[in-house]
Parts: sequence; C-alpha cells; structure tokens
Amino acid sequence: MVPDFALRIHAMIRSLREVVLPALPKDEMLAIDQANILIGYLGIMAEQHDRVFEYLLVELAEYVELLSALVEDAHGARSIEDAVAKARGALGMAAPIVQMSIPRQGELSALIRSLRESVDELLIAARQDGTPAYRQASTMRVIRQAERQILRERAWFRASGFELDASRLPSIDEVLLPNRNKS
Amino acid sequence: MILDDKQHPSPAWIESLRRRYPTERTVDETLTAKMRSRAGPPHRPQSIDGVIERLNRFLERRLSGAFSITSFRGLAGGSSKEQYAFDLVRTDSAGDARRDTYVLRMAPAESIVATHALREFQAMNAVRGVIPVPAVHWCDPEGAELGQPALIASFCEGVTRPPREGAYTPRQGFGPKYRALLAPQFVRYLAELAKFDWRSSDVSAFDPPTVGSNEGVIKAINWWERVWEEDCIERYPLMTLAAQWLRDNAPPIDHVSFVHRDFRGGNFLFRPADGKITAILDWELVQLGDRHEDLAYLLSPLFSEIDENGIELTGGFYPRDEFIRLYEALSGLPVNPVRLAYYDVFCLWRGTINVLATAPRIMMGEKTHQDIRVGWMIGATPLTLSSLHGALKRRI
Repeated sequence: MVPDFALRIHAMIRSLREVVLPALPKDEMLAIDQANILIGYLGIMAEQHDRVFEYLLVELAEYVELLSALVEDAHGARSIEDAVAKARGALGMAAPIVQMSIPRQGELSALIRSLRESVDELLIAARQDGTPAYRQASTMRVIRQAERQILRERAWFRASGFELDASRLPSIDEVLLPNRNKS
Repeated sequence: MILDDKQHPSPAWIESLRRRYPTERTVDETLTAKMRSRAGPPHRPQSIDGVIERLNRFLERRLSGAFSITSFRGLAGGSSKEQYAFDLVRTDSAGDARRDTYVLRMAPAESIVATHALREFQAMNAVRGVIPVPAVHWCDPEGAELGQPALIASFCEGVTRPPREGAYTPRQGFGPKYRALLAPQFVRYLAELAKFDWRSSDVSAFDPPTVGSNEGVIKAINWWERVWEEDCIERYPLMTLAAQWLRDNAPPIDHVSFVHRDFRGGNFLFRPADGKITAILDWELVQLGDRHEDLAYLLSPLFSEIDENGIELTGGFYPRDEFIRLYEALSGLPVNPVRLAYYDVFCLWRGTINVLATAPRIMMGEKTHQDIRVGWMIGATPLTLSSLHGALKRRI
C-alpha cells in the first residue's frame, strides 16, 4: 500500500523540524516545546507502527507459556480448580493462533509486491506473444480485480477529502471483513 | 519504509530508459538530470541569504544601473516549485525610481512533476497578450546561476480561492457569486489557448508534433511511462493495461495547440473585488499537442463540484455538456468525442502516475520542500484510479 505509514510519519517529522519549528517565534516556548514533543511521538510511531501486531504475538506466546506452567503446577482448593478451568479455556482460544505461522507486516508487503510484479510481467508478455483470447481474458481479470482493490483503497483514503460524496463509500470494516470471513 | 534500487539508479539503467522511451529533447534532458541526481542529497531548506546573494549576482549580469532587492519572502501554495516574492528597486531608463514585485520559481531536487523551465518560459511569453499570464523576465533552465532551475516572473495580484477558514480540503468551491463571475472568463481563456497560433513564437524548447500523425502522442506516452518506470514503488497492473491501451489507440492530431495540462481552479488568480481573472498560473507541464487533453483533464471528477441544486459542474463551473458547447463556440474548434474519450484515459493515467508513483518516490528521497503536501495528494490516487478503471472498462 502506498504510501506506507512510515513514509507519512517521516514527512510529518520533516515538516515539523524544517518548516514549522524554525518559523515559530523564539519566545513561544510552549509551542516550541509541544512541537518538539510531537516530533518525539512521531518518532516512536515510526519505529513501532508496523511492529504492534508482532509485539502482541510475542506477548501472547509468553503468557501462554506462563499460564500453561501455572496450570500444570496448580493443585489444591476449589478456588484454584475454578481458576485453572478458566485458564484452560483461555489457553484453548490462544492455541490455534500461537501455532499459526504469521508473517511480519514487511514480509507480507514484499510478498504482495512480488505478486503484483508477476501480474504485470504476464500482461507485458501477453501483449508481445499472447493469443488474442488470452490477452482479452487477462485484461478482463485485471479489470475485475482492480474494481475490488480500488473500492478498498477509496474507503481507506476517504478521510483525505478528495471524494465528491464520501458517504456513498463502504466503510473500512465493510471492505476488509468480507475477505477475512472468506479465510 | 521501502528503499529500493531506484533510489540509486545506475547509469546503464538510466540509459536503457532513455532508449526505451524516446520523447521530446527537453523532456529527456529533464528526466535524465532528475535520475542522475537522485542518489544525491535530500532537499534542505535554502538559506534565504544564499538565494538573495545568487539572485543579486544573476540580476547584476542582466540589469544596467543600480538596483536593490527588498522584501524577499517565501510564498505558500503549489506542490512542485519553491516560490519566493521580492521587490526590485531601481531607476528606469527615463531616470525614474521604480519598485516592482517579482516571483522567483525554483525547482527543488525532485518534484511531483519534473519539468523544464525553458518550456514554461517560452509558452508564457508566447501566449501573453492573448490570455492573462504573468510577464516572464528571466530564466535559468539548468540552475547554473541560481543553484536550481528557475524562472522569474512579475508578481500578479489576486487569490486562487475565496478566503475560508478551517481544515485543508481540496473540495473548496467558488460558491455561486464567484462562479458566475469566473466561469465565462475561464472557458474563454481555455478556448483562446486552444486556438492560439504559436507558429510565430519561439518554441525551441518544444518538439511540435505533425498534424495528421500520432508521433506526438506516442512521445507523450513515452514521457509518462518513463516517469512511471523511474518512480513507481510498486506495480499496479491496471496502469500497465492503461499504457497498453493508450499505445494501441493513439489518435493522430488534427490541430496543434499549446496544452497547459493543469488548467483548473486553483491555478489561476482573480481579484476578489470584481472576480476578474488576473493570471493563469503553473505552466510547467505545457506542451504542444492536442487541445482535447486540456478539456479531458478538466472534465475529470477530481475537479468537479456539486452546486447548490445538486448539479455536477465541470471544473466547478458548468455542467459538462454546456462547458463543451461553450468551448466549441469560443474556440471555433470541434470537440471530437472519440478523442475526448482517449484523452480522458490519458489524463487519468498521467495524473495517477503523479500521485501513485512520483509523490511517494520524492517523499522517500526527501527531495522536495513540500513532502507533507505531496503526501496528502496521494490520497487522490484511489479516485483517479477509479475514474481510470471506469474509463478503461467502457472502452476495452
């Protein structure tokens, strides 16, 4: 997805550093202080934004390990048995996710880029050497996929204010959830 | 953040793109210079003192007699060029003291559109007197003296939009009062540009296309496909389909006009007092080509507005059919629906290249003073893609 968050955050930091801060009057200490804090916040976001999911997965694995050990050691009173039962339920919900092989966001983006490139190469090759039927079919497939992709992108960027009537667009949930339910 | 090989292009790759996409001489020069400097340092705000010093030396070589530069200040607005205003105080040939205000437009290291200052300079000189444009005085096309390619023009009074408060939004229309005042002038100037006879003007920075041939269109496709290859961060198969369709359907040209390529609200100045258009701005993309391109560009939904009665207005001015009818009457040139449809695809494809490929590319390299604004423009990509998709789907 272009632009990625890193690019946007980086541009915000640059604007604050190179344009906004130098333009602030030197005696506007509160504004200068807060602009610098904004730069700090944005720096943190730039470092973390694509790692949040990964961070949660690590945390999940650690708590699964901790809770599993506690459950294994647990014995005694009724109240402990009740807590163990609840813990086993939570571990049962976590188990399929912990077992999944989930790519990092950067890996996922790279994979999608490589698939896009392959589609493009096929289109170019089809124009050079493809039969008219293959060319036509490829074209129509690309057109159909683009329709879904563009609708998703319009929903994603609706807040940019370029749409003539943004209220007619589906929400981000609506364009993302059908795909999640498919899997 | 993705950092790819295109940030450090090899000379062999640059040459291969030049061979693969032959285009106009000055376009080739501009794109080649852009790629050769891409691996260089990012854009950093210029020291005002440094700009004034270079400007002083530049003017010393061109002005006789004493002069001074005062009130030098940066200008906001525009996404591509760094702009400054300054006052030039001097004594004219009659011995009278005069003070004139000028605008200095300088190209940053890379811009949302990489263009050649001499093309802008020559086109503005040519059409001045036919339509209102700022007088252009000097040009430093390679930036040999001013440090960056630059152009100096007279400052024109006026505003681009009626003043408003609130957050930035591209959907700020003119409103009924100003629309009524501006619309007739706007369509007239667009028509005047189409019918203007440029043949006695200095157009040495252009390679005029031949009437009856589509070679100029192919060169224009090459220009923008080269930019796509140079700048895109990730492929977008619909863009490839569009380029293929444009090559397969490139029409011959019936009349060669100056084509502004960004003729729309926001790119002209008007006096708030009486709504008179004082200057058509932003000539950087100008070329000699097919008038249908300017018309198709303006017909894009990106520039339309909904009026108080819920009617969609082309460019924020007239309903589409009325706009075309007026344009034909005023220019004396026919609007061919097949060509208009072709240039609709062309303009949407070209515009999408600017926002989908070049905008993130220059943000990545920190190549402009306007990364933040350029980044905001990327938000227009889904809308231009949607229109491109619709236009292609109707024709494939």
